[in-house]
Amino acid sequence: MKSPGFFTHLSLLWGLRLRIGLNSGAPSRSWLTIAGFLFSSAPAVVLGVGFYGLVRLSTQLELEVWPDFILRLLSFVTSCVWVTWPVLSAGVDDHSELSRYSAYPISSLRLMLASTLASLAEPRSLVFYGPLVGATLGYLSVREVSHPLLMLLGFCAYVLFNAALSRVGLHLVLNVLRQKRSAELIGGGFFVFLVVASFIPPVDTSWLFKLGEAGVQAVPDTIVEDATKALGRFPTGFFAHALLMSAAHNGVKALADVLALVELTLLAMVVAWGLLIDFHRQSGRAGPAVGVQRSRNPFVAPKTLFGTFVVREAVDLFHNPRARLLVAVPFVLGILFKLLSGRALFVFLLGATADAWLLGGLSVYGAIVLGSTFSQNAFAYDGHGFSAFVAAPIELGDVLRAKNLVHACAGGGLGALVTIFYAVYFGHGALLDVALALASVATLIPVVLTVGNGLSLYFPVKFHANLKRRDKLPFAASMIGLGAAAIGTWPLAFALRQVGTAGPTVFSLLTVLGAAVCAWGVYALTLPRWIVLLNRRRELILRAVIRE
Amino acid sequence: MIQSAVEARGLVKRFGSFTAVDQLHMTIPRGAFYAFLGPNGAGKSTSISLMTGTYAADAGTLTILGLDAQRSPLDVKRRLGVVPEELSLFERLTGRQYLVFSGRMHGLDGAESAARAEELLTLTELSAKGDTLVAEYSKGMRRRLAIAAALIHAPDLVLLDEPFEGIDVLAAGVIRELLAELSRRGVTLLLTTHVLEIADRLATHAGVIRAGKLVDEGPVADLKHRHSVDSLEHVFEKLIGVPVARDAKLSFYK
Repeated sequence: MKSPGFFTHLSLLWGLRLRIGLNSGAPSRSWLTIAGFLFSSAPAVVLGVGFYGLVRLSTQLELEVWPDFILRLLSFVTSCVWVTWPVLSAGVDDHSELSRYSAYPISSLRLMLASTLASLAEPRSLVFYGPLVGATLGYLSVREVSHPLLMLLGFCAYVLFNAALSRVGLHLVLNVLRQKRSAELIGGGFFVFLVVASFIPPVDTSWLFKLGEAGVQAVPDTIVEDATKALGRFPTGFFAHALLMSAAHNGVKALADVLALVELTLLAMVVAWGLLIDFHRQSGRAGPAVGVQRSRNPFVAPKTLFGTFVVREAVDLFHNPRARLLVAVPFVLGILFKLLSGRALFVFLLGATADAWLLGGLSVYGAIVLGSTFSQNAFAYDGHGFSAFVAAPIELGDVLRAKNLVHACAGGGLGALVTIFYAVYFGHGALLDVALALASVATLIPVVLTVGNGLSLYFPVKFHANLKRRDKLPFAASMIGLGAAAIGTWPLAFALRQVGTAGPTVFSLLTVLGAAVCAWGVYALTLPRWIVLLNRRRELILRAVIRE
Repeated sequence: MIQSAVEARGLVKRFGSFTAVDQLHMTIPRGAFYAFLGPNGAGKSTSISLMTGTYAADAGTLTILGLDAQRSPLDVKRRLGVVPEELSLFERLTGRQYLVFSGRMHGLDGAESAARAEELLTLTELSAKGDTLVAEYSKGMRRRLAIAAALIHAPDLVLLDEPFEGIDVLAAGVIRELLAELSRRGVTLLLTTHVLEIADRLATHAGVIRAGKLVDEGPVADLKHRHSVDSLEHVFEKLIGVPVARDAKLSFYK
């Protein structure tokens, strides 16, 4: 029997993803799945066309570096998004599931390479790369390049470089999350990041405020040129530089850029593979027993059964590595935002309302990543534990209530922490801004809980806390979850849009608080209904969450 | 002529400070039906993971079908069928799709894979459910599907980790018959199970592992004779030692 070659493996993994995607709906409604795929890719077309026009326009500006700047900036942003997306969602891909493929004659390296390439055919690739493809085509439509094939190769190398870099990031995070002291490691890393970031001088953004009078000409040439140079020094800018060199008929330099990208891609893949192997080497089932001291057993303290449920859910969430990672995200974003002097841009665009938008945005984001992630599939991590709930002489409704309480506290707590962090770290934000951010979190939480309860009952899926499996919510559930987050955020957006750039007022706060009262009212009204449905659908949920 | 299907010498696997497999010496003759027995946590599944190449050994040598398992893991896998204890099937494929995918991953062409899949679905009594998603399968059906997938490339050696765990009598009967048929056809089988009665009925050879070390192995008849007992269950009890809960009292139970 002849062993499958690399391209056979690639096509098999590609086909597997396609088949799994098509099977996710009813067999007779595959067209609906395809329509969903096309629909989710639609923004790529809009963005691509937009950047196509923008780059063409930029070539007519006096300062010649503009198109180069746009291309390098887009390359940098695309790489950042591509790399951070799986890390932020702790997304495990096929190749991380080595045990699933252990029976097949495919090496772990080839599995990783093939699944990395196969992952490029997902809808998110089209969305993420749409703007850069549009901008590149726009550039090619006005500048003649001497080596078009080399540029195609360069673009492929850039895409592969991003894919390899995202593997390094993901496996690094997975290795940290697998550690027993992952919370301390993440906290320590965060602290080091904060300290290092404090030594970086702020970006001069005074020119921003002259834009209104002089238009784009107000941007100092040196800033654009320096930024272009800086973006070109990072490997993500190599492709744009190769494009520029090819347009200048300097084939040698263009080739050097492409080769550097290929070299870095190979290096990153080797590092990623090493991390992957290390992850699996350390994740054996056997291991020394780590007992919980009797005096520290958290289940001794609760006086009521409901209290026990709350403690169980809280302990479960505390030990969930995905939760630990998600907690760090809004803080890291906050630090990056300050490093890039992003607040100045907001002040320029939104005037006195900037801090309210930023505070509210970051806090609500913190509440969403924690509250929404776990409440949308509340029983996902229970596994066979859910059968213990079903078998015990208890009200299942109390379990759902306890879960809601813990998820609300976790999401709300993180939102509040982010609010305090912003006020202290940025040194901006009036009391009213802070109150508005907290009120927004209070509005969002009941919305995500209400919708999350419905999703938990109608789209139950087993999730694996050990990070060795690829867990995905159905597409429809993800979209509904996103819709809930949008609805929960809408009162804040509405209140702030009403005041324009004048800054929030007490009325803005009252508007959001009013929405919060309504949202909690809807939550209180719907919860009994969800509990009735939970009892009716418990067998279905049980079957879903105990599947391997 | 290769005499042994599996030959382990001084095999060691550690997880941090814990030694899961400790100087394992083991020989499985070709064509044998080998029952690999031991209490939970003794190192059976880890040993199987070493054979499948999922884990790399920290020390020792492992020869499978005449090949060095650590130097040529892919060559070994081509001739190996594996049914792991924790079944991790692709939930969103149908049973038929899953089998054809498994065949293709082992290098069969599409037509051959599809033909073998049909035969295996019939043999494992899954034909009627071939177009149902694996997610909808019962535990017994999953086990049978996993066994079918492990056989699609006609392996010379099949490793079965707890194939009888948590399944009903009917499914167990189908699997038992299937294993007996494979054994008659000369396929070497390694089976871990806690159902010693089944092991006694099917196995030609057995080995007992405790705390990562093989405490005894050989033909089943020789083992029984050596320990002067009439069943594998008693061999197991003698080698492992069954804890007896004497004077078991619960203070809160009146």
